[in-house]
Amino acid sequence: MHIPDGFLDLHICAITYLATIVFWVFAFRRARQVIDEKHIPLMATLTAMFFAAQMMNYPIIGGTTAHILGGPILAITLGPYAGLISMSIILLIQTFLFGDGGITTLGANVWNMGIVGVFIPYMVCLLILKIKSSKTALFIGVFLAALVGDVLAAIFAGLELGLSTLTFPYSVPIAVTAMGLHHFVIGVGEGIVSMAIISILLKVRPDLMEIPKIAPLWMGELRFTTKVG
Amino acid sequence: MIKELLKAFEDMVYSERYPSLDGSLQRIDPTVKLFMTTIFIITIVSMMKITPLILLMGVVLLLAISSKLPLKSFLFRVTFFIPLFAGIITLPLPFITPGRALASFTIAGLSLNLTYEGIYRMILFTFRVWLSVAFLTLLISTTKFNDILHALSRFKLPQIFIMMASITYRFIFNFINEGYRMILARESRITRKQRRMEVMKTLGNIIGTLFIRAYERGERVYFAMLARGYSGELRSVNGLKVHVRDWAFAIITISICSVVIMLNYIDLVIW
Repeated sequence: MHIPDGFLDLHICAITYLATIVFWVFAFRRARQVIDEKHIPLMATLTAMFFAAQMMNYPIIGGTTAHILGGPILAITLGPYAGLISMSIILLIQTFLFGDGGITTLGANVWNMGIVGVFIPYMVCLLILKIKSSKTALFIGVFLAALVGDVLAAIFAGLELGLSTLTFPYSVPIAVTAMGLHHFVIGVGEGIVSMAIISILLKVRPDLMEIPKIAPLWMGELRFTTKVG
Repeated sequence: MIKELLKAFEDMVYSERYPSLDGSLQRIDPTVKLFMTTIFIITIVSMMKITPLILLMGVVLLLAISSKLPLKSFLFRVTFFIPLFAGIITLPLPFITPGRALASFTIAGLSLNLTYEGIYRMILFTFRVWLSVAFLTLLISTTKFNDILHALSRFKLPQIFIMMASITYRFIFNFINEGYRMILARESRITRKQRRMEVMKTLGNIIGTLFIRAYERGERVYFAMLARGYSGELRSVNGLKVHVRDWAFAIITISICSVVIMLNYIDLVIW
């Protein structure tokens, strides 16, 4: 889903950068309040781990492979602001180490995968757990969160591409359908992998599910008590 | 699965080899380099004609040669993957763009017109993507990642971000290795081809285990840092200084970009 340089119009790049910067400002302000110096190396190693995890592929329909984005799991375990910071670091390293992504499109990529792909899953999971708080609900929540997050992130990427009338040759409907359909399949995979991750966390270190989440105050906090299930 | 991991790992090791060569771009200050690359890419993205892009292609090749990058592998790295993908997705363009017809075919009752405008749009889009990737590759193959981070910290980014990014970068190799070992161990134990669902569950288990290990390692890293005098602040030893050659490079870049932008707008250049 990484959009490289040359795919987006400059004004789309500017708009997505501005929108992303707004979220960055809030995220770092909140992070400065909540994170103490102990959390920095902790979040850094988790970010490095998700970077490595993004390189592992799983097979999807048609003999092709996909990899997890990690956004949903980051959001659910660390909170959306922490997830945004982690995803931004991952995308930054991918751009300046591999050349995956681009300088002018970094704002758009962070918007798709670090904001849409992190905040939406968090809200979906929050919503499901509010309806019913049980272990099954948690797993359904995680699956739906990952699926919805991936598809919405892809739809935003398609929108940005389609609205770039000067550079990108295809229109909004084509770009959105292509991205959305493709990432629906990837999203199902992400959902299954995410459920497996949560289940192993609950089994081995349930306390890790209770790390304080760095979330906007108005959103409320996801709570998994060990009582769940 | 394993092959791809290994390849990615190899790429990373190679990407850190060229920055230590003694070429022209390697000597430029990373902040200036980052800024000028951004200006080049913005110029490229705003181009609507092919001629100015050819000029910029000359610039990128010249810079690559003077930075002592092996031209063959540089071109290979730049052309494959992203620009190739861009080329493939634009393949229908010559047929769906209305304009002067160069040739027409009738396939299965469908009449297709190959138009001049369509071919032009296809070449323009692919060329623009190729050049952007070329400039980005030039930057990353002449600059160490730590220097880029240092350059970014001069743009007043939050300290938390810079610090986390630099620690993350150090541990990536570690976790790739760890993940690789776990996958290898898994593959040596299975005797049959796994179903799709099983592979995904296994992957989830591996990532979950990695998550726990990463968390525990994070705690150890913190104590290790604390023992070495960590107080939550970032200190860097290598002071970077902007020299005359950096200014010269900046001025040359800006003049080239202005000429190119002018070329894009004057009517003398039709293409």
